[in-house]
Amino acid sequence: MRLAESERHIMEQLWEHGEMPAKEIAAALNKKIGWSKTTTYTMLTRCAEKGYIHRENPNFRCSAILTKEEVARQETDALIEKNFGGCPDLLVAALIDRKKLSKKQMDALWNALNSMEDQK
Amino acid sequence: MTLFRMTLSGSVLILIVSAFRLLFRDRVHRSIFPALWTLISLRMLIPYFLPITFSAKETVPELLQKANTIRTTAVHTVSEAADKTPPLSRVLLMVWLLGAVFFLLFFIGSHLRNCIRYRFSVPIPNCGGELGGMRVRMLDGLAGPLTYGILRPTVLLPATFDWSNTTALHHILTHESIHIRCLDLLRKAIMLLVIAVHWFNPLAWLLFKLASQDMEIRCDALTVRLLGKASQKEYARTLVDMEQHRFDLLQAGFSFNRTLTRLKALSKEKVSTGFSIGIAAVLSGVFVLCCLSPSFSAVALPPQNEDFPVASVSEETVSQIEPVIAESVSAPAEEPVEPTPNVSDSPSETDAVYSYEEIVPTSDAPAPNEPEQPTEPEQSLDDSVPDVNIQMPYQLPASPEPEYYWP
Repeated sequence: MRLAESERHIMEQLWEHGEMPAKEIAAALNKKIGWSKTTTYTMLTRCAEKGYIHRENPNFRCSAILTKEEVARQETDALIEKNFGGCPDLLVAALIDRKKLSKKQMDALWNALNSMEDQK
Repeated sequence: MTLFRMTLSGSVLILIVSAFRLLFRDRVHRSIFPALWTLISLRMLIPYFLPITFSAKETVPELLQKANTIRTTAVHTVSEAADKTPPLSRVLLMVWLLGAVFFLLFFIGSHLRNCIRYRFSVPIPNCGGELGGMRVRMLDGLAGPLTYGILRPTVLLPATFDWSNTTALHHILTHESIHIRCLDLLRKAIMLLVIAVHWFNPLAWLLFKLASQDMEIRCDALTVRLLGKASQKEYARTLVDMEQHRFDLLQAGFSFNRTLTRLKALSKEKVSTGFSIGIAAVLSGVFVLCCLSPSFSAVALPPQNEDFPVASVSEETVSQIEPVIAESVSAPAEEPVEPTPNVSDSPSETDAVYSYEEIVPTSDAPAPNEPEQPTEPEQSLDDSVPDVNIQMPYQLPASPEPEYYWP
């Protein structure tokens, strides 16, 4: 699913620092984005309802359920679906085509492809 | 009732300016009509008139004294009015009050609800919080750019905005910054207040609609002027692409007609300066007239009822009083000062009295509480020779007739 910008800020906070009490999240976001404590708490409640985070009752410690990799995967799938007609190889081809990859990255990609072939 | 008078004079003004707008909108300077609408809305909110009369004898101290006593008598009149209003007026007053409170609460409530939504805005990526001196943030679920905040203006952009489209960003931010500079949000707030007070008058609603459109058109014109004539086409493109939602107060959604109107207005501008000045002068004259004393602004109102006599200047009054004053100045001994038994004698006569504002028949005034005044000139329309007692040098009575009040 697409993470909204406001939700993303909360998730990033939890991904970076692991489990945190809600108060600390509010303080950190206040410094970063300028959200008030109420706003952060409301956002935390919404994320909990959607199942992104888990909130424990003593002290309102929050931990992330949705992982960063999960989000990256889903958004990449959406990107591929929309822009490359569901073919991931076109995405890789596009990356290579734009010459955005350094030599090291291309070598790593090559090795990964080879190892995948071997596995199959 | 002053409210009635205000609505009437406001309606006349709105109709006049609307007629001018229909005919000349594209030929005058774009900033004129927003300014006119603002003036009208201020006029419809402020109940006091400037006390301009024909009197050349009035001196500054008297004017000041009169201005001071206006406020003190306001309290008197309100209590009087409350006692004297017939039951039907009372009911109307209650209905008006209910409507006004309802609309006021509605506007404030919807604004606060929107503000709660805006708290979830985040800063835009790759940037600090400020762009060119205004706060710019982005919000999920927003369909188009909008500006909010009178004290601390903030521009909100949709989170789905394409940040690589720097031209569109430039256009949008220029446009919004002009809105902020021209205090358009403040103007809209004032007009909403006008609607809350004059909610029964459909012309007040028309004022809001026309003024909003005129403010948008004026901002478009100023934006194009700032960006340069060459970028007019691109700006039109941005307008169409963006599906602009404007301010949050009474946020009516994007409508195709409105954007079309703005686009047409953009290209139709054909301003001739002389024409602008002429129109502005004419309309300013109309305004000044409507700011003057009730004798000018109450154009076609019937004479006031018994309870609230209106002071206005009539020719016969002037001609009747002047010789008397001259007479009494020349022969003060012949006019002994009488206590005023005739003050309470003929209430019916004094009810239909028209007099100078500073010479006040106080038969209906809060006389029981005040010491009787030696100077009680009376003017009666029935007599050809007025019955006047003036003591020279005459002074204002301590409590002149209450005239300005707020229902």
